[in-house]
Amino acid sequence: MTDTRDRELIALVADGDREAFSELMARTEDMVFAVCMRIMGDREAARDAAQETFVTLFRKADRYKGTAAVTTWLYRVTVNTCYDQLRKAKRRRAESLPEHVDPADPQGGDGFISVELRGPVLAALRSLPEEFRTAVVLRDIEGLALNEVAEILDVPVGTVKSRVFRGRKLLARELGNLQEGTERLRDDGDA
Amino acid sequence: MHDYHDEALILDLLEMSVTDTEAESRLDGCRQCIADFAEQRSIAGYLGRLDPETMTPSERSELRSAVFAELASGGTVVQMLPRRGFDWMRVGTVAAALVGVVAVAGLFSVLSDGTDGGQALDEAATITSGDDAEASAEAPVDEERSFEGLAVEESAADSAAIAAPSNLVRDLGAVDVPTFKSELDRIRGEVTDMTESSPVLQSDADRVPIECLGELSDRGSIRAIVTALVDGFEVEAYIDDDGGDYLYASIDCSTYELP
Repeated sequence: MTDTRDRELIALVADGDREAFSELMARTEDMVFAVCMRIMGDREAARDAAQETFVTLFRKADRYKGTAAVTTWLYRVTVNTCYDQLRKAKRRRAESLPEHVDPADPQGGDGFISVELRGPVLAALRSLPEEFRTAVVLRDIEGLALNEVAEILDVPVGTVKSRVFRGRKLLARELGNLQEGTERLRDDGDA
Repeated sequence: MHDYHDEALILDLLEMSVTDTEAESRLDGCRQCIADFAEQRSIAGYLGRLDPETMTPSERSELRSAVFAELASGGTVVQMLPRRGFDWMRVGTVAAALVGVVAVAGLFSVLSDGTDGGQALDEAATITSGDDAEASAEAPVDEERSFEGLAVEESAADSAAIAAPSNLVRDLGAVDVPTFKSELDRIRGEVTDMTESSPVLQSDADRVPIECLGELSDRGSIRAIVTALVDGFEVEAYIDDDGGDYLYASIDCSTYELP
């Protein structure tokens, strides 16, 4: 993906060029969806977030200042859209949660959290606080440099380091717990 | 060699892709560091090997259809603005909470002699609905953020705003300082999500009606632009920092033939 072409396209999109938008979308939709999927943890929610991201991209293309790569700006829009969607989902859950349901009970609630997740790693990832999860997703799954993550999240590199470090620690702990739980279940089944 | 736990060094070593031997040498004296180094590398390596999430062809097609359908129905803000008589009575009241918060933040800055409130003016370039209180409570507020990325001046300068009908300017009534402080905290929480495109604020604005509260006195003081649904149409709404003393939220009234 060449940033030069992306910049040409986003300039055209800012003028309302839908063909340019279509091309830019084709170039970036996999990236956007992948990030949405890792942050949202749910295909349907990821599709919704990706949709919102591209609508925002079209409508706000004129806000792109050209100081960062187009992909960096788009990562930022994507991450913030995901945050927004997660917040809405939490609010909906809080509003619809019956009083007798323990919010900490993963079997309770509306099942937004991790029902769609496949595999213990994704489940563990989904359990991380948003800011840790996003930092880990961008650094370790998307493979971005720490300074790029800092630019996307609009925080100092030191903050990104801290979030990545703590996010990985929590993941390791969560995976350890999951592994122990699985082994315990297996032992119970064997007994 | 060092004997204290150094997260930054561990991460730097990971970024440098050093071997285990090299890392142990650098981290010698800190057993916990060596253990963390191995754990961090293991987790990072595992995550890096995850298959990328991809859309199925039908998902891809659905996404494109949905995006273009939404754009077709809404268009861009400028293109779709209706030029017709405006039924102010049908403009909802939810913006009272929204705009009230912003106006209240400005008022608080006056009450607090521009100290706390001044900070709020820097941070409170936001437009938010009343039901976002829970959301902001969840938002991280411990990070330094700025509005450097909020590049809205150019588009704002292109817009011409005129004063709202005076009877629509809201009387804020009595001032309750603790409430204002609470609202400012909430705004700070919202601000952590701001970007150039401000999708968070945008979606908030999409959910609420908004009314014209006042004139944009100074284009250069505009701190945020969102698109709001008014009477079923999209309009641009501005958050204005009026020289650091007051904040206004306003739609661009000039796009309507005012009654």
